[in-house]
Amino acid sequence: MAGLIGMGSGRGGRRAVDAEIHLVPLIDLLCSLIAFLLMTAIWTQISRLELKNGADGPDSQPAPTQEQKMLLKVQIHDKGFTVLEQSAGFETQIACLREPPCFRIEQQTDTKGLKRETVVSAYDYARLELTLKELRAKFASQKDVAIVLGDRVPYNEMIKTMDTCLAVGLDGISLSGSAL
Amino acid sequence: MALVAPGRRIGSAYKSQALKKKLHHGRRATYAALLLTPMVDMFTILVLYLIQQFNATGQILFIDPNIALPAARKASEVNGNPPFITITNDMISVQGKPVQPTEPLRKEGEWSAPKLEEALRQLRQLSTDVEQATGGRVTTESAQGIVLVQADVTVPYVLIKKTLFVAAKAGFARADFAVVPVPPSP
Repeated sequence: MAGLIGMGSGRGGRRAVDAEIHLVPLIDLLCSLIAFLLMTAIWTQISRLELKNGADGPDSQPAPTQEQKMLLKVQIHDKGFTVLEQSAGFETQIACLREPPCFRIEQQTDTKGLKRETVVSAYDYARLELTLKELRAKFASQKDVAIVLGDRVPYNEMIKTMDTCLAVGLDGISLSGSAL
Repeated sequence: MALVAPGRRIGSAYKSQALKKKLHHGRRATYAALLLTPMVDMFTILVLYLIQQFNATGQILFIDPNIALPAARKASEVNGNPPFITITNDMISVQGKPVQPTEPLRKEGEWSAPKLEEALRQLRQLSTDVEQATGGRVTTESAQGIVLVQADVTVPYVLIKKTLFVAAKAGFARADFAVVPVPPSP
């Protein structure tokens, strides 16, 4: 006579469908996974900005205008930006959002209670982006821009200016310095 | 009548069981039950979060905790393991090792940084040797002349430009700048 094999506590000969979870191996597995993932976790993501055309050295001199390919120049100084477009004779000044100088280095307390120096910036990057967008619309094939910085301008402003240029599609960035 | 020292004056409740338990000065029970269900829930959520965050690109980059990197919207991912130069207001380091104080480089007209240049040349030479030894099969970013610059937000541009100049002299023609990515504003 055929019979149903009952497993567990099934009633009426039916096979039980309940399965027990073995907690101890499960907790061991989770602990091992957590230990491994914590060791390999990346808590701080960083990215990069590319500098395609490099920076000038001490002996480099600006090439004569008729040989120079790029014509767009953004100068960063204490009082704001100067945007120059030599082929059209375009020049505009973008002033700071407050009284010059446009940047200040201040001591601030961070979230851990440590005092560290930070840059307080008042450059008008929104207006710079608008100005560059208008120029880009006129010169659609132009992707080169020269950023001229004063020696005292902080690295933070250099990166933000590069970021603004990339945001409008000017990715042929070169850097040079001035005594501003 | 004999003299008796006065005892507790707590009235008729003195002989009750409830009061006896309260007045009992025995050892407190130290057994604490482990709640497995919430613990397994917590482990599961931790594992799911860490798996979601896991990144297997193999990129290892040492970020100096003493510097604050600037933020940028249009940054791209760091690919591979390029050699990195760390610039603070006091010191320039190559691959995490301090090599050049910044004080001489702040002077007008001073472009020479011999220790920095030596360290970068050694790095470049090593990567070139590896490439030659493997017949071009192992090509690193260092052999391609790519270097990653990480600098504090307050570092003046004069230090950046002189560092890039020395790096170019040592054979690193292309420099990328490490930034903290921020999502573009809507």
